Amino acid sequence: MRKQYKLTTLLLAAILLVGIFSGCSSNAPVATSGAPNASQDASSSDDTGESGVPEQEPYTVKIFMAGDATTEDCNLVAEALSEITVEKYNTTVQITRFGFGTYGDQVNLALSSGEKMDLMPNLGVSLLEGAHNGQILPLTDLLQEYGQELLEMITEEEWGCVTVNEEIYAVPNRKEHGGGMGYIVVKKILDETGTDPSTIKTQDDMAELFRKVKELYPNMAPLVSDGGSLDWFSVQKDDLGGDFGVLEDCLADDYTVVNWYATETFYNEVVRQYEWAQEGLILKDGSTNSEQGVDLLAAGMGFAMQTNTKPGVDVERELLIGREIEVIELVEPFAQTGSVSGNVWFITYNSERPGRAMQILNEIYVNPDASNLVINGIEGRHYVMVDEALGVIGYPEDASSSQNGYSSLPWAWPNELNTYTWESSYPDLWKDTEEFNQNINLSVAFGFIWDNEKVLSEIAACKNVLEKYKNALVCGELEPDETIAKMNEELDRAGMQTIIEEKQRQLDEWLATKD
Amino acid sequence: MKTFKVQTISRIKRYIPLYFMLLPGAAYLIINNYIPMAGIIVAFKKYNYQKGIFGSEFIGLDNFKFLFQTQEAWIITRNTILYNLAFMVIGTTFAVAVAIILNELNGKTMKKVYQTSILVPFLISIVVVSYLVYGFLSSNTGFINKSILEPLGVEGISWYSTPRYWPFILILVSLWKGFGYTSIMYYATLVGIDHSYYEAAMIDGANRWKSIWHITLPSLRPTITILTLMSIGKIFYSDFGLFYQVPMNSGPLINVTNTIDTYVYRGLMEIHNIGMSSAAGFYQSIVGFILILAANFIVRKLDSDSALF
Amino acid sequence: MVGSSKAVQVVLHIVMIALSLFCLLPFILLIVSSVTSEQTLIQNGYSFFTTDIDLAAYRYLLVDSGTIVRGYLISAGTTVVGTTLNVIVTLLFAYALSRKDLPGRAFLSFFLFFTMLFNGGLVPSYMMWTQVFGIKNTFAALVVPNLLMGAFYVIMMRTYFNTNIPDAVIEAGRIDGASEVRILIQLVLPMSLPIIATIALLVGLGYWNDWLNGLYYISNDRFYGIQVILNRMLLDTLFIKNNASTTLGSQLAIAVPTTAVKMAVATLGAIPVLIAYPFFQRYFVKGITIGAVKG
Repeated sequence: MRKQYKLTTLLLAAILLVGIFSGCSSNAPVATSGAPNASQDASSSDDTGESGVPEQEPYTVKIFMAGDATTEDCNLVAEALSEITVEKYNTTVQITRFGFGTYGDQVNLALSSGEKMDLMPNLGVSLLEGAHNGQILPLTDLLQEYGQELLEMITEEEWGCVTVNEEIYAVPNRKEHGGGMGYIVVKKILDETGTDPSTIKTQDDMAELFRKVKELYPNMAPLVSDGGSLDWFSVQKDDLGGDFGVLEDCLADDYTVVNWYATETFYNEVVRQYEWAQEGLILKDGSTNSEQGVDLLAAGMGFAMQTNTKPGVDVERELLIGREIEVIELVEPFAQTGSVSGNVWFITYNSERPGRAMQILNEIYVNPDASNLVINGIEGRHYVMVDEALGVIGYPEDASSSQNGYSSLPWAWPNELNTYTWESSYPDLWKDTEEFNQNINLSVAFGFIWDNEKVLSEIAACKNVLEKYKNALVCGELEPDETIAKMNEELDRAGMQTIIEEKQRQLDEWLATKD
Repeated sequence: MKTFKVQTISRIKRYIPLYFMLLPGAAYLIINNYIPMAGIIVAFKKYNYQKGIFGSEFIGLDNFKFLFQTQEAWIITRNTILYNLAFMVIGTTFAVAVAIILNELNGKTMKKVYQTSILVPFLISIVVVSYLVYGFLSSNTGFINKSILEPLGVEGISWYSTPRYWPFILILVSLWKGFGYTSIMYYATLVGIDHSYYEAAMIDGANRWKSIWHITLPSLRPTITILTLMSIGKIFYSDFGLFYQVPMNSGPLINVTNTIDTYVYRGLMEIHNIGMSSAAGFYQSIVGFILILAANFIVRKLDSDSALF
Repeated sequence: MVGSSKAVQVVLHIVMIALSLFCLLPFILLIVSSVTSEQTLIQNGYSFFTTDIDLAAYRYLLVDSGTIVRGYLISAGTTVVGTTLNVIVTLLFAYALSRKDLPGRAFLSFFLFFTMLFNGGLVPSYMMWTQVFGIKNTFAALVVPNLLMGAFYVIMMRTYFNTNIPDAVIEAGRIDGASEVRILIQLVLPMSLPIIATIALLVGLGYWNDWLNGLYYISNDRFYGIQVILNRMLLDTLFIKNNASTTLGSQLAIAVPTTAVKMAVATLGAIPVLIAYPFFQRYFVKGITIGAVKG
């Protein structure tokens, strides 16, 4: 009925009736004002799990996770994990998973109604929002007491990326922290054009390649959009936490926050896309294309799509496209705050024993057995060892990749780097990722966190304006000069300058504290 | 002779069974609708999960600002109202016409077939409808461009980049999806009309059209009025699926497809501010409420049978 | 019905046939697409005539046929129980409300209608049902929240009573000394079959199509109805599309349901109703004609 989508939108209006029901309900969340219940655990716990028999009372930590999985499989995994955690911390674990499409709604509902939950990834709740409106707990003290290993393994700068108002609010996932930009191309066609991918360094080189492809396949548009967008730009810009206002070149020593959509660089990118579209190098009406890029490439409807670049992106995509592919990198990888704060774990405010939650989080992070359980499931049921020595796993005989009951999402859990690799990937993937992180260039604003509280109305208005033009512009469908000018005019009217000024102010403040 | 007191008591006694009939429904409404309504105050608060609904800070009308501050505000309001008016007028006329036709038809089996067919669109979710529309209007492979325009030698139209067609497209899609559902309700009323009226009219020498004009339509008046009143109450609401999914969230179309609901979604999608979305909902409710009170008042004066309350 | 010329009948039939086609053709397109190969769909778009039949979409969905069958059973059960309860509650309320002499009628109508206008949002209702009544992950959660009675249908029924049940009938019953309950059951009900049938149909459709209750109140997949199962898949697809160019989206390198699967999902959700409807129609038509004749 008509009401369905209205309800879903209204879901964002999560409302808590604790006032009325705290009398009736035994699930009323612990009314903290932000300070964790560390004392409750401190008095009743001995070690933090290093040795033998713990003195803590039994407790169950509930993990609220995303990704498809059946209730039965989640329970099996949770049971197996509990064997480890009960021994160390006298704590059992429960896992509930919801598909991505519905996870956001579910978790907000659970948070609003004060249901039992302890740990969650940052999906449906953002770091900043969660910190401001009390959905998540500050972790600084908890880390000191129960998360020593976490403190050791994660660098100072990385903690900076998840610090709000001088408190740490999340634990960053151990995965690639940053990326570059490039294209994925179908190898077969690439070979047909006789081009050596290592000779391609610039967008113009790509254009040449596209033209050659077009000659060979006149009816195919070489570059396709991904679900309607071509949003990866060939510059290293720091989004400074999102919501408009960026550092155009984040490796340069320039701290001026600018409106990305009014910059010369953006203009040039769009003009290039427009010219490409005129030449027929981009999928016609790419902005309304509802197919994913990988599906189009798989169906032979395209030659190339944009991608971020990081170790393993090629095998990842190849799996989906089903053809041999090549990754051509144009922009060297770099890291911004968002690269670290993009995937993190929280302890929710309604956790009755946050100390316990921290212990379990710590365990999953440092213990490969625990990590493998939550990420890959149970050996024999969800995967089988293919190469014990190298730690490579594959699907069991009778299960197909899409239906094994417990979907594997390494990047979404606290630590993917100490787990097995799938045979569809390659054994050294995690090693390469560690190296990748060591050597990556950091943005000059790495560690800066943007607080958008004061400019929410302006952001809402600007977002609506942006939606009107962005996709069509980057897919080369609209005339750049006119459209960009119009768009920026509307953006200014919607309050863009206010946002920029606010962001600059915060960035300057942050810089001052750094020195 | 009964005294007044006894009369009143016996009056109430007489109605007690009726009050009992009201009980289950009333209890349900209180539990499901009224008590939860307290949540509306969040629209006026800066919501903090740990402080809860009553502990959170009261900030007056701050959450409402984003709905009025910009140029967009006028556009989305205009769109929402105009579309709803169009749906009301066109939708009602069409549904009534279909109901009357169904009523006039002979042939039981065929009527069954028609009734089933016109309900089919209602069963398909709006998300799937958006795929179907895409199947017709996609510029590369859509049915219209490829199988109708191309053979005629006409160049394909970029439907999703051309705003001016969309009011019609959206009204058509909305009509397609909803008219079966609505006409069935009108049809139920028509079927219950006493046949003796028609017979009397025939005897009086009235023809087909006169019967329809003097008997059928007036009997539909209460139903039409009520349904229209309810639409007025929802005039600031919109079907999100229709205005966001069906146009495939295409940028160039936003000026003609943005409604209050889609504006709120687009603006708050990454912000998740509960107070603001709640404020939007409240805004829609209160406007609808005031309009309905006014409209109901007018209707009550004209034809008290058809009034909502 | 009351004697009209053959020519007019023919015209009307033609009109209705055209309308029916208008309604059905997209649905046929849907079904045909669901059995077309993915390649053809992406390359040639949707078409009524396809040479490339491929049941891959259905094989994908029905791999776990146990879940699907259970989904259908749950949905069917929910619909039957929910519709019955709803119609009873609605009928009682609407009838009482339709009596013009009922003291407090205007207030009660307002009390009813107000619920259509103001809504506290999902969460307070959610808390009410799960914490005060504890229905989470039970069958009741599929039937009770939001769907057990709606102001809209009550008002429709009340309007029907006011329009089609003459006051004289009720007066007559009263004079005969019948109790209110008897008047309702023996006099009013037989005359109300059309509206009862209609509301039952619409309420039933509402229950069948509902997936929000299952989504919010159930986390144990044993209780998922068919629409919940199917819609979750669609939502996952939408999520990925809406986040395509963000870092999050690019990580969701999961094989999503293909276009054909989306079409199959819709078909699977709608087909049972279309199959069941003609059977129920028999009762409706019977009830409707009986009501008409008796009136």
